[in-house]
Parts: sequence; structure tokens; C-alpha cells
Amino acid sequence: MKIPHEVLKIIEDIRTMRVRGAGKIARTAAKALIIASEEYRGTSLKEYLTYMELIAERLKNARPTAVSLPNAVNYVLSRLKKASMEPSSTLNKAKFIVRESANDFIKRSFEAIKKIGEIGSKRISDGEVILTHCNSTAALSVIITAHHQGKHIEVFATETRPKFQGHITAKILAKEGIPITLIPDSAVRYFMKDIDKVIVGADTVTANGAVVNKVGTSLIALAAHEARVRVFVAAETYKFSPATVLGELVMIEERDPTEVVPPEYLYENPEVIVRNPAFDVTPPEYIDAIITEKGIIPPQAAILILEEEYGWVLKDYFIKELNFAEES
Amino acid sequence: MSLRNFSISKLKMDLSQGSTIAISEALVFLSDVISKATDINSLINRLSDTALMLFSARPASGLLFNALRSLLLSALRLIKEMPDVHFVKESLTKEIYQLVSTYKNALKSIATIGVKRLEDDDIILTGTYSSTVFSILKQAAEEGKHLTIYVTESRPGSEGLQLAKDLSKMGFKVVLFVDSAVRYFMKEVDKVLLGAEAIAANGAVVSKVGTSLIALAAHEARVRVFIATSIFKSNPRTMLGELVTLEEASPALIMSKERLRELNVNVRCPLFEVIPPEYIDALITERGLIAPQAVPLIMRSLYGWPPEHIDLEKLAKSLKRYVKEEVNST
Repeated sequence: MKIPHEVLKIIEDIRTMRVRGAGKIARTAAKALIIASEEYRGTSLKEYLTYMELIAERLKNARPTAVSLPNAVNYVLSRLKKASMEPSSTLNKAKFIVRESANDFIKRSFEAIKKIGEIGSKRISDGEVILTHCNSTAALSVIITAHHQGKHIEVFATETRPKFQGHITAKILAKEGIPITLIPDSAVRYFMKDIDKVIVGADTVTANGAVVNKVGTSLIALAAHEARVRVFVAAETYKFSPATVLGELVMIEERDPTEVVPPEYLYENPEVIVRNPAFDVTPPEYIDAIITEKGIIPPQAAILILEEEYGWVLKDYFIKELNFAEES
Repeated sequence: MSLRNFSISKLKMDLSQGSTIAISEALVFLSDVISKATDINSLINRLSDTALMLFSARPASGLLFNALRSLLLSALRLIKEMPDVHFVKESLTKEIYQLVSTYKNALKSIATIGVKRLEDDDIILTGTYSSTVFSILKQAAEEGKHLTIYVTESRPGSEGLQLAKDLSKMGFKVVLFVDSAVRYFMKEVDKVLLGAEAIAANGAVVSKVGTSLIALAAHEARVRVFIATSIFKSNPRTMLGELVTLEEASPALIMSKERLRELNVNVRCPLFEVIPPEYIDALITERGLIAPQAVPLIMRSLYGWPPEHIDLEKLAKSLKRYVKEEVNST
């Protein structure tokens, strides 16, 4: 069974960052599963399941770092697998499950952003100056919600090399009527003394509460820590990584050097190695709190979210792989 | 040293060649301006006005401040000695070229001292374009040391691209990355080597924006931070509590006019910032390796204790007043 053209295009868009931002990637992947499912023309449930698993793998491999992507895909696939194991399952029922659970994921994702805005905005006081990095929908939800509550806030946004996502942030906030100042990434420590709070998003939250986010986030958190400025991470629960509970490391994607320098530079200077890590890891000790749709937690309590949201995944693993059930 | 490339806006905003060369060019420009004076009045006017204009273009520069201070003081001494336009002009021009060669020699001494701190297989992190740092690395290349150099892009200005190019031509393995990736790479780095725009009395170093973040990340990772600088970059005004003026550049340095118009938001683009002394392990100067906290010692030897004649505007005024009252009336 061939992968539909439209699905291939989505995978390519995620890979090349035409679709970007951990939340958006997750929702787009869920949508791709619906498209793939509807486009399936076969009649065998068994073949359909293999086909959907192939699509799921291809989607998950499009970007390696943001956990929202596999979490979204697994959200749908685990429900599909569970349903198809029932004796009464049919192809049509299976397709229905995929459509329902993918739409459910997308709906929850939007609700999460809204809820994070409501919860996080309580932490912002009138007259505060906020620093943000890159372009995070969840972080902006907090800022914009606070603004809508009538709080007078001002925002500093880093331009966010190499791809200048800070320009998008600036545009969105300016449209909302929030005073915004763009600065180069290198000027973060220069301005830190003027900042009251740092609010950033997350691509992945690990079991110990470390936050994987756009490269530069850990440097900002370090400078904030030095200046005793509070750091908040806005993250939906599907950005928490169950695999890290099992000791897995988060792979940091290094992207193409032409995002940093023009191709001519590489051509003229073949000896210069240009490295382009897309993310870095902010240790939990530089993070004051993570704002999720389920509430605000200290980063060290990440395991609570993981148990609540992915307890079943972890239980399966411990039973199957480590045979804990037999031992006890 | 050619005048063709000199302009005030370049002195102000272009950090692509390091401050030592930029300031040397500014001084040669000054010598050209005073060479056209035909009488003592126009000489002193040209000297004082150009000096103040150059200073206002780059107020953070310790090197420029010191050179202009020393030239204005010399001018005052010279006209008192003999108020003859040719005599004063020639003496000042000679002094200018002497200053330029002093800076050049300082680079050599600093290189000789600094290179000893670089060991085979070290990974050195640097950013922006410092001719002083460059001279140390050049010396290391000549001695055949195997180094890997990590270079930050160094926005605004992106001088890191040219630096990476020049260092790789010297035979080093060079890795270039964006400024925000500094903490990501810091765990691999053995030493940080940076240049300076000015040194304050408490040992704080004024350098290109982004360098204090590098020093902070190095401090966190217990990586040693060395600042390569001539002692002439020490700014005696800071001994009397003055703050160093930090210039901001125009937004054009980080985005195109079209983009700026499209976004229509406030953009701030500082060029320099301050690295606190506690994040600096040592200054590598032509007088040897010193702790940043020992800077007042160097300042005393250069400017006396307490430092004198450290207001350029006052100096320029007293020069003009002297010419008006003493020279013209005779």
C-alpha cells in the first residue's frame, strides 16, 4: 500500500520546518493520520494496521527531538491497536477510531493552549517586562491572555537565529498591541536586568524536569538564574517524554549548515565546519515552574505528569520488558 | 594603513577588524586632518574637534580614549614649548605613528605571552573579531600547535564568519555556530579567549555584546576565560566612578529595511557589554598575565594616582583657551 501523496507532503513539511513548533507539528501529524486512514483503499484490517504503523513510523522520524510528535502519533495508534484487538473489530470501526482519536488529540491540544494561558497569566503582574525566545504558541498564550486581562506588559523577544522565529513572535504580539522589542540572541545578558520574567515554550520535557527547547533557551535560563529572574516554561502535557523515564536520552537534532551561513560561504570555505544544533537542554535548577494545562508544577515533579498521562505506557513496559510482574 | 576605508560610521559600527586596527585607522585619519592646518589656531581647532568627534563615535573604546588624551596633553605641552604650527604638527604626527606602532608591538608581546596558555589539542572558544586574540592564535599556528577553534557567529555584525575563514586558512580546525548555541558547546571547550574594547578599574571588561554570556556559560562549566588586551585599553575615568558609555547600533545591523518596515516593531541592537571580573580568570597583556582585579595597578603606572586629565572635553577646551589667551595675544 502506497503512502498518499498528501501525507508524504506533510512529512516533508515537518522535516523542512515549513510546519514548525512542537504543538503544531503534533496536530499536523494527527491530521496526517486521518488523511492516511481515509485514503486507505484496501479491504483487509490486518493490512490496514500494518499500513498505519508504517505511516506512524514515517511521521515520527520526520523530526527527532520534539516528543509531541511521537506522543501525538502514539495517542492515535495505541487507541487503534487496543480497538483492533477486540474480536468484533472491523476495518470501518478501526478507521472510525483513528478519526475520532486524532480529532480528539487536536481538540485537546487547542484546549491545552487556552488553559495554559489562563493558568500562566495569573503569574504575570501588571507592569512586568517579559522575555521570550523563539516562537512558542503556549508561551504566547500566557502573555496574550495576561494582556487581555488588562495587564500592562512589555515583551522582549530574541530574534532567534538561525531561522528568526522571533520575528514571527514580534509580529503576533505587535498585532495584539503589546509593546515589543526585538533583540539579537547575544544581547540577552545585556537586557536581563530589565526583565521581570522569562517565559518560553518546550519541545520536550524529560523525566527529571529538564526542558529541551530551541537552542539558546538554556543560555537565557542561565542568565536569568544569575540575575534572579524567574523562568517559566509553558508546555502541554503531550510534550512530556515517557521514554526518558526508561533512561532514553533525547536526541538533539543538528540541522543543515545553510540555515546559518549562505551556501556560497560553505563552498568558499570548505574547511570551516558549521554546526547547527536546533535545541539545547535547560537543567531543572534554572526553571522555576512548568505551566501545563493540568496546573503549574516544579520541573522536578515532571514524573507526576508522566505517570498521570502515560502511566499505561510505562506499566506495559515494566511488565513486558523487565518482567516486574513475575518477580513480585 | 590606508585612509580610503575610513569613515566615522565604520568606526562606530563595524567591528569586523577588531578595535586595535580600527583605532589605529582613526588616528591616522586624525593625523591627516591636522596635516592640512596652516596656522596654530586651525591646528588646535582641527585637533580638538576631530578628537571629540572620533571619541563620540566610539565612546566605549579605552584605546581611543587613551590615544586622544595623550595627544591633547602633548599638544598643550608642545604649544607651551613653541607655538609654531609646523613644530606642533610634526611632533603630533610623529606621536600618532608612535602610538600606532606601540599598539602593533603590544600585539606581538601579548601573542608571545598568551600562546603559552594554549596547549596541544585544546578546544578554544572565541567570538567576534579581536586582532589581539587573532595575534595569539597566529603565533600558535606558527608554533605548530594543534588547536580546534570554536567561533560564534557574533551577531550583530556577524564578524565570526570572517574570523572562522581566516583561522581555517591558518590550518586550524574551525567550528562555527550561532551565538545562542554557546552553552550547548561549552562542555567541549577547554578555554575561552576573548578581546576587549576597554577595561574598567574594577577589572570588568567591556567587550562585544554576547561575550558576557560566553563568560557566564564558561564560568558555569568551569572553563577558564582569558581576555587578551593591551593595557592601553584600560579606562582611567572608571577609577573615578565614571561608567563606560555603551553604544547601540542601528537596527539595520540585524535586519533589512524591508523587514524592519514590515515588522514595524522596536529593535534594540547593543554593540558592547560588560563582563564582570569574577568571570575572568586572567587578562593577557603586554606587561604579562594579570588578574582582572589588579587593573588599578596598571592604571596607576599609566595615569598616575589618582589619575589626572581624564576629561577630553575639558582638555580640548583648555587647549583652545590657551591658544586664544596666550598665543594669539602675543
